[in-house]
Amino acid sequence: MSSKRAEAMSKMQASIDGYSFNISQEDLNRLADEDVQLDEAASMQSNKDLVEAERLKQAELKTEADIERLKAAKQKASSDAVKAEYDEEMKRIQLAKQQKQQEEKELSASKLAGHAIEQTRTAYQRVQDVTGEAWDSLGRVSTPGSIFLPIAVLLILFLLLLPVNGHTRIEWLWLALVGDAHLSGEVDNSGGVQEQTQPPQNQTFSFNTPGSGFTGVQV
Amino acid sequence: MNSSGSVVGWLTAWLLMFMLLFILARTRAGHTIIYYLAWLMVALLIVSHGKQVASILSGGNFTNG
Repeated sequence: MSSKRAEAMSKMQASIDGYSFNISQEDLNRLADEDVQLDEAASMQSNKDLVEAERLKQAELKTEADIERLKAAKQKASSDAVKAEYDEEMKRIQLAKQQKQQEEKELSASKLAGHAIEQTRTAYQRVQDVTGEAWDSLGRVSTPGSIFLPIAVLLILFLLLLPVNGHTRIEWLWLALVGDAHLSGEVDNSGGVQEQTQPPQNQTFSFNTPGSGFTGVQV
Repeated sequence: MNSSGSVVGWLTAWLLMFMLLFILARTRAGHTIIYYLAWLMVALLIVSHGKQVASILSGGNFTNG
């Protein structure tokens, strides 16, 4: 089962990497051995925990048995000194039991804290993985024409649609090419200042002047 | 004072935007985001200047004489 699993995993990895290769029997055996070792290590750890829990339970039972034994012996004892000794022994055992319980509580609290930290770390790792996957999948979305296509379209629309000083840039270009571009405040040959920019004579534009609300400007 | 403050604010906003675009452009997913944002800007520009676009498409031409 392990070797089949290893083979399947490696085939999947090969397809992800985009190439195919043949796994040798030696590699398969090595992967199978690694799987077995991992499984053994996991089972050993869980066995250790079980053994530890069992040992603690046995220690507690032994303590209780000792206390019961001392109580029975105290009842049977006739001399006060012996009874006092048994009392001392019981107190000592109970004190040791309380100390052990205290230590167990502290240990379990630290275990809980460690467990909580581990869970937080795992959750954080999972969030990171999911976010990374989402980011990577966003990168895999196709962008036909690359990023320059929409930017070029934007630039063309800026030239065609957005007016500057009453005309769009394309209009100004045309006016400049035919020699009829005039800016306001331009000084003519006689020294006077020319009027505000007017469309040149005998020129017909079929564009809207933005904000004018009518189609076409004709002079 | 007010106008210089607004110019500084304007410049800062544009610089921040370009910085963000530059950072995004260094990643593959950032390319995708910028690409579709640019198309969105094209769509918004066409929608906001609908009349001009319509007149250009219907009969926009330069004539001389």
